[in-house]
Amino acid sequence: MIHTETAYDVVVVGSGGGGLRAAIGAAQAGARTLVVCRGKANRSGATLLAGANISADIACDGATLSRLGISHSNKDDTPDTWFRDVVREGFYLNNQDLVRLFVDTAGDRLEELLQWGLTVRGMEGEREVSVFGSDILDALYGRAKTLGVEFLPDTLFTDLLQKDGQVTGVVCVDLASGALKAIPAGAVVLCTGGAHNLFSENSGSTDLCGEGQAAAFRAGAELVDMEMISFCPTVTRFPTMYKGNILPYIFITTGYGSLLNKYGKTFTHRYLSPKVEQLALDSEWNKMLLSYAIQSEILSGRGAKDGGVYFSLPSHPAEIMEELYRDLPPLTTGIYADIMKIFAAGRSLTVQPAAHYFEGGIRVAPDMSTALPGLFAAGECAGGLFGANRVSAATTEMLVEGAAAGRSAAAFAQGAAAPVVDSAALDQLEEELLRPFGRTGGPAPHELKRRLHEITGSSLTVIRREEELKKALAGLKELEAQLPLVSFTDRNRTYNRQWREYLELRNMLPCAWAITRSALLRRESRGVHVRSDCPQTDNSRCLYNIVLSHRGGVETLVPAVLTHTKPRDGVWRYTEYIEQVVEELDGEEVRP
Amino acid sequence: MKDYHVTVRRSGPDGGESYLQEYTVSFPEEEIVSVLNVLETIYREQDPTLAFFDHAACRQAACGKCMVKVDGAVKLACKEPAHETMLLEPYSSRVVRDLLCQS
Ligand SMILES: Cc1cc2nc3c(=O)[nH]c(=O)nc-3n(C[C@H](O)[C@H](O)[C@H](O)COP(=O)(O)OP(=O)(O)OC[C@H]3O[C@@H](n4cnc5c(N)ncnc54)[C@H](O)[C@@H]3O)c2cc1C
Ligand code: FES
Repeated sequence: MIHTETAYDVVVVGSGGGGLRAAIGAAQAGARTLVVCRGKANRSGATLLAGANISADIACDGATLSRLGISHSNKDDTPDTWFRDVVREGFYLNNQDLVRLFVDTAGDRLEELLQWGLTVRGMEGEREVSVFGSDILDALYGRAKTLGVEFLPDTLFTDLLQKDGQVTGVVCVDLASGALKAIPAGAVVLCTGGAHNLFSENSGSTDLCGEGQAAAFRAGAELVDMEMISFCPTVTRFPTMYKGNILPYIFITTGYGSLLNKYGKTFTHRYLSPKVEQLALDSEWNKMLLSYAIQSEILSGRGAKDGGVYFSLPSHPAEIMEELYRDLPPLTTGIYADIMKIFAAGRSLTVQPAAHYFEGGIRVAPDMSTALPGLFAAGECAGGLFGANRVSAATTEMLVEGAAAGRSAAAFAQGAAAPVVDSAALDQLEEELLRPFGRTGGPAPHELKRRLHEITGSSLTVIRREEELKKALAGLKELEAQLPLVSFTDRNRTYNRQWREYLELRNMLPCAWAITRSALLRRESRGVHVRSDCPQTDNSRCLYNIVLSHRGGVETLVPAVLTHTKPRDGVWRYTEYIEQVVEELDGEEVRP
Repeated sequence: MKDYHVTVRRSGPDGGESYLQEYTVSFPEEEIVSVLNVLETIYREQDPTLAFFDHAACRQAACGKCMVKVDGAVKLACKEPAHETMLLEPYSSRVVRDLLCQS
């Protein structure tokens, strides 16, 4: 039996910055609030890893930064200018109502964080304040505790509960004991972050599996623009000990080091015009452009033997190393000091583009509500704000959306009847969640996960094409058919990793399906979505958001929300269009 | 290839006496692997019942949750290079299962 626990007004799932800020918003509005967290309440998710604890950024318009006394270098900047930039950077797929919320409330979110004890470490860019990810978590967690928010750590969310078309709570597993729990709630806010672990190569922590997106989809919410995934271009692949570490990316953004193919040659010029190459090496556009160049070099067969390309950091002249240590003091301690020993020994790191940030996700309205009454979503698991490419800060996204979602969820819960748990549905769910315990001779869950990684690795990374995407759909269908056959070697429910991987796969497979399906439907190259068989950006025919809804098995191409600005009509080659967009952005920056 | 000989102090999920179990895993000579990489490999290739912290692991020495005793000293499994021969034990007495302890 799934035990039904005490009811809450609002249950938040996930305790990254989005989840913590949503909980604060709900508690401030008087809701009795619980946060269900997969890991440790204040040390999990991408928020912890933001900026690799060297320098994460929170973004805000320059005028507000000046008002807050943080920086006066950009004080003629306004939310309106920032709005235009975010929409251009997103190649006009952004939901402009969400962008409005983003630029209009970022300052409030930053200001309150400062009041709650966040330390500012300097400036990273004109609009970017430099902070530590762990500091953001500490400030938010402290505030949430003060407001009486409760936490349930080491607990894996698997499903949403609903009755009569309205969300009534969540189902989760206490990982240590293996107990299944149903927690009734007046409203639920999903803040489960990205789906990094769909990919073998990713920059996230192991708790990011797209479970919120999939559970929301299964329950009847919509997913938007799932094909849009930012890859961090230079994530460590080899040696294995540092796999997933983004230090080489921090080096590149600071200006140090170079990328070499197996012949020891630089190669980005092969794929990018001089102007665009400059952007790739020297600007915030580097994620998208370098990923494209590196993946192209790997596909051409000139990559390193371990699959990526080499990131080299010359150790002489010694003065350069001294400059480097001056610029990045954290290199002298901890894991970074260990990595620096590799360079000191004259070796390089093998790096490659890795899944890093998910622009797409659960489709939300500007109050963060979804198509399913009582369900709200915020942060990286929600989609739409950044359209086809994120350049501005995702940390600001999680704060802005988290605050709005918490407030809306509390208001919804106040008006809702006491949540009722549908016991028949619960029994049925229990059967599905525990099924492998009663089976023998089926595939092991980690074997299915390995096959999933093969599929995502060959079809869903930086450069895609129809033939591969169709193969991926077939492969995923096969895995879906295998999932109910899974069986375990390990029969005990206490901290059973095989069981956990089965539960993850239940959500990872639909998430991978949604990404593949959307990537097939978008027959153009735009922003972070590049199709070698459709190399043009097509503003005449493709200015739509791809919306998937599970309930009706419906796929809709919904015209993008262009409430404030519109792009030029026309069709361009992918990199040509990027040049054009960047020129427009630069043009705006020339002020008297 | 290089072999790593690992002895793990295990405790069943139902309590009872702990016991030692030995595993050997190999990696290419030029690899650098962590204790966590070794545990992952054992789970995937040899023993899917082995329990260690991995459900919300940063893998980058940031969350502080992967603690384990390596040859008697408490280390972060993701930050500690694997020793060629090593004894892995739970870092505290509040064992949930194998190397996983209650925090
Ligand atoms: C290495 C790295 C560096 C980055 N650097 C920057 C940067 O410098 N600037 C920037 O703006 N952005 C950066 N980003 C992106 C940014 O950090 C994230 O987009 C943002 O922190 C997401 O916040 P979130 O709260 O939505 O999700 P997360 O912080 O990812 O939190 C998700 C939460 O959900 C929990 N969860 C997931 N699944 C479940 C489940 N099934 N049950 C219970 N809980 C669950 C997780 O444990 C976690 O607590 C970076 C990302 C990475 C990976
Ligand atoms: S996994 Fe987070 S510190 Fe080791």
